[in-house]
Amino acid sequence: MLKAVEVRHLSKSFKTKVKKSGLKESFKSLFHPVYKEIKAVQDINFSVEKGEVLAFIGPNGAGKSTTIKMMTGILYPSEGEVSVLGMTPWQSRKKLSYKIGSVFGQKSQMWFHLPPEDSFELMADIYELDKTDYKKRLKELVKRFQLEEIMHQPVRKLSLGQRIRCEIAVSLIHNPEILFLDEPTIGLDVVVKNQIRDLIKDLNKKNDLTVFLTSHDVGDIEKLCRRVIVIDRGRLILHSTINELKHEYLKTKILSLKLEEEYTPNLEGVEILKKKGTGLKIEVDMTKCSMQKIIDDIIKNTTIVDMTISDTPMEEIIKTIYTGS
Amino acid sequence: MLMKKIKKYMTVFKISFVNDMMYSRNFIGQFLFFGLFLFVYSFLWRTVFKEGEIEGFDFVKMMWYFMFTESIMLAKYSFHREMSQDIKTGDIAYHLNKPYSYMLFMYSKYLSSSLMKMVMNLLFGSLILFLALQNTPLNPLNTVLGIISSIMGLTINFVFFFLIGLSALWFEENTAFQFIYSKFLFTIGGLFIPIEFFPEWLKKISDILPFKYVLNAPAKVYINGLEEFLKVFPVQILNVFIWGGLIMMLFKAGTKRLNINGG
Repeated sequence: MLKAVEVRHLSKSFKTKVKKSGLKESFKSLFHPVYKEIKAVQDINFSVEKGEVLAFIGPNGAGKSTTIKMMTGILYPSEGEVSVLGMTPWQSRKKLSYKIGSVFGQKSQMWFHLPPEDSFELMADIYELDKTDYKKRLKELVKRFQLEEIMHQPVRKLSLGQRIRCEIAVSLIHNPEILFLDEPTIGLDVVVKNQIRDLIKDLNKKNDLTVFLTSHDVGDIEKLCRRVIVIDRGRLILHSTINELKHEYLKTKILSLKLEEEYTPNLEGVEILKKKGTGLKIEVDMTKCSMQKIIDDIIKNTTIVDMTISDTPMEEIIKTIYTGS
Repeated sequence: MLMKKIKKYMTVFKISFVNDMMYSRNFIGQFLFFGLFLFVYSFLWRTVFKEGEIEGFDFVKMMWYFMFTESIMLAKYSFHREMSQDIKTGDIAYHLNKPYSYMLFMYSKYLSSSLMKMVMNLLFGSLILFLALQNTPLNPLNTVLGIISSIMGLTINFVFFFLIGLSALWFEENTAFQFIYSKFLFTIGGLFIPIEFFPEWLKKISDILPFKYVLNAPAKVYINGLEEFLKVFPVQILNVFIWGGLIMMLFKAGTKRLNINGG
């Protein structure tokens, strides 16, 4: 597999001024400033394959954005190497910028008071596209992102979902090989979130677009990515496929039952979550009690009218990883 | 290839112009302010010039001079505030990963916005003064040369605004620099009083410093035409190259030490 991104022993430290509270300390820090070194990213290693959608997640302040900024050449690292499409980002920032696209959910690249069409035109000139190539590409993106009706409305009049669709579309105007998406679905409702996910999936499949995604939304990760990297306090704490992650962390299952008679389980590893009449919801720790064992015990005591078995939500898994680190 | 590079900045200029047109109603406030300024200062200058000319200036010439300097002063797009904020919040990152020069991008945006305001100020101010004074130093050549010199003045101002914005890399609070700079323009920039009124020693100092080439020099080109233009235009170009080169180096060094918040 060809690598789109390779990160080796990457570290970034910042110096920040520290000052205790109070007037005396303020004066003191004027003459004897004290600095503290903050290690935003510490010795991280990973790679992204061409055509892959990779999730890069972590709690707030984990070092996600700092890493993206080093990968796009905006920040210089303190140590380590990065290769994006064979280039060192901070040495070939301009050259690389023609081959990558980026969407930062909380920062717009559209001109707020003008219709999206103007921002598209500006980006086409910024990326030095030929007029015919631009027109063709625009037509394709407008169709794919369903922007026909909003292309002539000022951006400030668009809904957040419409604006994000424009943001992603405009970042693809120059046909980049890698798309960096930083929180693309932040603040969106469920329907729009799904639309955006479908679009990203479609772009990845049909155009072989490599996507590097950071998100706090577990749905984004579950629906889009095959692999996930978790970073916390600047360190890489987990690097696995979504399936491995589920296998590793899905040690409990939730059983929702409707029984004929009342029943209270008394087995090790079984916890009652809810009980109301003949309805029962239990959590089963699979390392202590097998599914066979609990079902046998229920059948011995009563008859099952209805039953659903579900996995622990992905959200819980991520929470466990964050708190565990 | 070069044409494509130039075209991207021309498009920024164009889009920024269209964007500013959306705020065309703001001109009403600006015109009111400008008109009031001219009205108030007309009383001051009428009293000052009661006895006759001072250093070649009479009341009419002084009013036109003041209108020219103010039309540039009020037109400057204060992008340095936005730039400082971008550096402090880290939003500058979103400019740096695009294939353009941040400096030229900002310059295109600044020039588009400032030039439009300046032309509007000039039209409005000239109309008011012409109606009130029935006299004008303007002729087609002076106007064209004056506008060219004003663009150079705005460019020198851009360099200083950029420097003030850039200072956010080293200073958390940089409004003091903006304050000091604007006071230099007020005084040795010749906003209210032409440099010609100053004592010899101060005149010599202001000749060396760049501030007079932002306001005083273009205003005098509007009044005196070609002769003045040939004197000041080369110095304006020199200032743009010297100070522009300096901020380019500083910006390059600054982006290397960029610490981005929120990462």
